[in-house]
Amino acid sequence: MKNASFQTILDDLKISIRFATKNVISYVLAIFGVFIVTFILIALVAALVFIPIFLIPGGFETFIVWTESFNSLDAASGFTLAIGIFLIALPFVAPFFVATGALFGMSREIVESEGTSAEGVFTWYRKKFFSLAGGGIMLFLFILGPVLLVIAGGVALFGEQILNLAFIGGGSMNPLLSALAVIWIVLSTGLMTMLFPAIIDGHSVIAATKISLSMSIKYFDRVFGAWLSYILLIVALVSPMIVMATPFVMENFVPAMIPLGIYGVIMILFLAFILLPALSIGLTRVYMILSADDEDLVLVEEEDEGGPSFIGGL
Amino acid sequence: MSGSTKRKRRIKDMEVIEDKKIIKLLMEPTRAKIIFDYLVKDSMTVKQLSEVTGKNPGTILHHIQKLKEVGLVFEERTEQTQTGIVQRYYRASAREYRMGISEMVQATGDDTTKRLKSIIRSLSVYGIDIPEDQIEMAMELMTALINQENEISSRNLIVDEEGYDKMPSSVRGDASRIMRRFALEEDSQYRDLRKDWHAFLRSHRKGV
Repeated sequence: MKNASFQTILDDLKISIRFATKNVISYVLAIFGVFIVTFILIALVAALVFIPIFLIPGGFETFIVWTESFNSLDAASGFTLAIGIFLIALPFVAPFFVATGALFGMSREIVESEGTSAEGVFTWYRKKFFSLAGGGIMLFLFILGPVLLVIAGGVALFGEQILNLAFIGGGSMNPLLSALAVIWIVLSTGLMTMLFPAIIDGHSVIAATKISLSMSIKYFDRVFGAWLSYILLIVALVSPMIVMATPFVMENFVPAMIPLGIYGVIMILFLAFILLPALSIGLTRVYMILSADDEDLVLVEEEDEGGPSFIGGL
Repeated sequence: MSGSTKRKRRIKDMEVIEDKKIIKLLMEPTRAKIIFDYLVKDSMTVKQLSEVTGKNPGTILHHIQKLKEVGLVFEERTEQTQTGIVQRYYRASAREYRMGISEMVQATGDDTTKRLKSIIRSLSVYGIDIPEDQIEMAMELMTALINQENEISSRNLIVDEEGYDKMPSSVRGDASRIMRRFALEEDSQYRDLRKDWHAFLRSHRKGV
């Protein structure tokens, strides 16, 4: 039950898409609602960060001079700058993760009781705000932290010219590094797939991280099987757009652009309102199956003897 | 609803809640209903609780999480249904709960005091009229008796826990009440407190 086979993964995928489709109206309303709140929150964070900049002596001009000074930085200073941007980005990405985490709350309701409501997302948003924000920051650090450490190690060992090797002409990334980056992102996000379901289950950020890591290692096939199936589905949906968007196709198959545009709209709607909810439902479902005790999953029916009591209460 | 043979967590016969934080938590009516009306009797899923309380599943899930955090509820087992639902069965940590009176007074302030006074005044329908100037005394006697009863009743009296788990619930309940009553009778302090309380009631009985 806990281990994966092709059939299990297929069932996980089918069940989650079925539930997402069944609750599509709730999800559409919830996604719109929760992301509006998120943008307002990000605007507030931006105001808190940027308004003081305009209040410093010299105002906006000083800010321009300060940003222009980055041009003269060398590679190593560029790295310092990257860390700075990384840290400034944290408060901005956290609200997005809270919104995503709140969708996992809705999915928990569906997986456990077959039903949810759009307003339910706000209850999760409010009640788990700090845990989900913490979880988001943890996820962000877990994925990008090691990348920064590797760059820092590379700069320390081989000097700043190592950064020039990472990029080839036209600002493109080295193909080998691109492949490694994709592998790392799939692996690191896969290891953290159980983070939000565990937070929704009432665990702290640290405990949820530990649970996610141990679960994804212990049940590697089930967790990564589910995770990769969604990634492959997304890639399969997006790939026609990528293929059709190549200069060769765009120049030689102009009439194909209209159906491509229609496909693009349908695909984005499907990704946002069916596949994203299905992903959160599927991962929540896997979490609930894997976090159940092994013994409990084998139910031995035993009808209890009911009946009136002979002895009165105390 | 059915019982599970694989009981990994022992459900207490009776538990006295003395933690003020938990008492406050249980002041919420839906939460109190979930635990005192349903989960003390059997394990139930969020969906089942949602149906019997008329609240939406999300609300029930939030209440269950709160109750789980303080250890009043635990997950008994998990089942998958044909439709793909993964339902968890939740159960109360005890079959009966009582609130510590003094802790309740501290947690809820006037509410508990008012309720105790109301109980004492309501004895008039049974022919026991307690004058207003003696209500405080009646409260002291009754509180002391309840506290002692709670203290004794929450002791673990079971010597064969495996045998206890195998008993049908109705037999378990009757056996538990017999033994708790016996334990109370064995306690001299309880007997003295009960004697004082009964003497007080007797002295205010109409026609005496």
